[in-house]
Amino acid sequence: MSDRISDRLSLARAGACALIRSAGLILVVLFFILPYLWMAGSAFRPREEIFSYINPLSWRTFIPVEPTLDNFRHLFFELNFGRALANSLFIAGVTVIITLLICSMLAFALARIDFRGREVVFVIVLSTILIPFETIMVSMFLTIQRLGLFDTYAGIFLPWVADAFIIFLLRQHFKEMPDELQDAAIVDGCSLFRVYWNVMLPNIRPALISAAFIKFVFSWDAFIWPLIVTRDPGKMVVQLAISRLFTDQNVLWELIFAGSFIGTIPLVVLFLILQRYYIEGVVTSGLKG
Amino acid sequence: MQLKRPSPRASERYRSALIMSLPALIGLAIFWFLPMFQAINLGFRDFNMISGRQTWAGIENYLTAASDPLLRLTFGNTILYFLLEVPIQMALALGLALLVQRSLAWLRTIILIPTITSMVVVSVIWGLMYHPNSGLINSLLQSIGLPPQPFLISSQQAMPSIALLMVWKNVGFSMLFFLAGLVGIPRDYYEAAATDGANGVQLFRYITLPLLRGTIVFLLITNTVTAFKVFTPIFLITKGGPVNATRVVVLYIFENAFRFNKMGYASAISVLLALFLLIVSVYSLRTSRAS
Repeated sequence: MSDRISDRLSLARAGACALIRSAGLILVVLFFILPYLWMAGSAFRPREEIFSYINPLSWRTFIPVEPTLDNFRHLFFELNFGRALANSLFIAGVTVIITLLICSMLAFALARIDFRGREVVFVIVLSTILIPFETIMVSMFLTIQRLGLFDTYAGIFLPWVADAFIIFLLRQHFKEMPDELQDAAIVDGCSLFRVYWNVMLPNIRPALISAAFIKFVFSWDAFIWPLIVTRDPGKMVVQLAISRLFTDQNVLWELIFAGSFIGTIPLVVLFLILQRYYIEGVVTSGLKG
Repeated sequence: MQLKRPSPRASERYRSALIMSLPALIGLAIFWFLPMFQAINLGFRDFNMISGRQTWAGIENYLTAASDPLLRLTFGNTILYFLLEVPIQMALALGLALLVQRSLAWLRTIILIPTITSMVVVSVIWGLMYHPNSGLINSLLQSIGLPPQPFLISSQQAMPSIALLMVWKNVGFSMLFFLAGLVGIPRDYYEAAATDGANGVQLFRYITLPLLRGTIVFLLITNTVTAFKVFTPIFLITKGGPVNATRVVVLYIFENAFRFNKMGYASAISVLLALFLLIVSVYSLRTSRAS
């Protein structure tokens, strides 16, 4: 008899647990999603409406009553936001390409070419990870200035292309390749460079995608360095453009939401597609490191 | 006897290695090592960006730094921020990892989206959410009967507010590593302990936590260094205020370099910050290895 009661009690407890768990889950989801919902909804609001429905809380707080594309129109046609987007895209693209090229070459050399001092070079490369960008940003600025690259696109992306983290990531993957692949190629008469280009690179494609996406996100999201190194409004990147909207004398709130929306959504979409690569790239480097 | 692997002549190996390594190594030299030494060098000088004139100043910048009350304030603020952000972020990350680990991959994705969102967008949107009158957060608070808060206008609430938004942004990163660490713990351990009568809390304390030690140390160091570099949200939404409540070290470096035209001093502070972070990292590694 007492068995039945204890059964019922544990059932009730399980039910309560499930309820708490669901409530907790909803709270967690809301915590992470609400800011995006608010941003997205407000991006399509006309100026008159922008904060009218904030209080009291209702569905109208998140969904515009009179949705409009005016904010986007304003951004693109009057504030040249498209230029900022193009700048960010261009810089990110160039950064990714050059980074992948030179970092994979060094990674290959460190992983698969036998030469004396190889480990020392690797440690030296890794040591740059210990140097936080914020502590060298001042001198990096001066270096760029001395090279005559202030306020140029190259000044923005050149400091980015030698990336110890990417080198580390790619070296890991090169090391994991079976020796037989390389040996067979060498026996067939391939130079080491051919081994790298025709044999090894195609085989670490997932790692290359990871590295490319990680670097793309970094470049797209960068703010401090483009802020320091550019002055020409025509070279503004998206993040700078958004920050300008915010710190402007005459703040137009609806544009801030719209601009943030544009600055975020492409990356989110890309992430939804490529998240596996991003996660694997970040985590496996950290774990084996 | 093992067959020797086919290998090109030494001269070809070294030549290939050199050619393939050169671009990245040059890049690292020019854009990491050079600025690092430059910063050390500049710390010993007075540098006037406008005139371009450099004068040797010895350790004057460092002496100034030692007695600069504003520097001490910014350092204190940064430490406060660190104490707020890192523990909460890591605890939340671990909790979320435990929640998400076996199923709920979609939740993992949601938690990760702030991590890839730019710092500018995060700062701007949260800055607006924290607005005392038109902000979403006060609206939410009032809808459940709580009083609205000043958040970024209050010198007490400003730093915790910044810490919260950074927790929101960074927790996904830590969660990823905890997830990977959790995967590495064999289920048999839990099953064996459970059959011995251990409950959930004990399982966590005696199996999960110890086996996550490596991950915890790694995240602790990484997140600590990141915490001391905080800049963008403060630069954009509080600008060091109210009344210096959120003035952090990197903001102070930035202002000295690009506003007060004291690049030498800014460099000296940068060097001090870098040294501090290096010591913290090495110390954490040592203590984690020892025990």
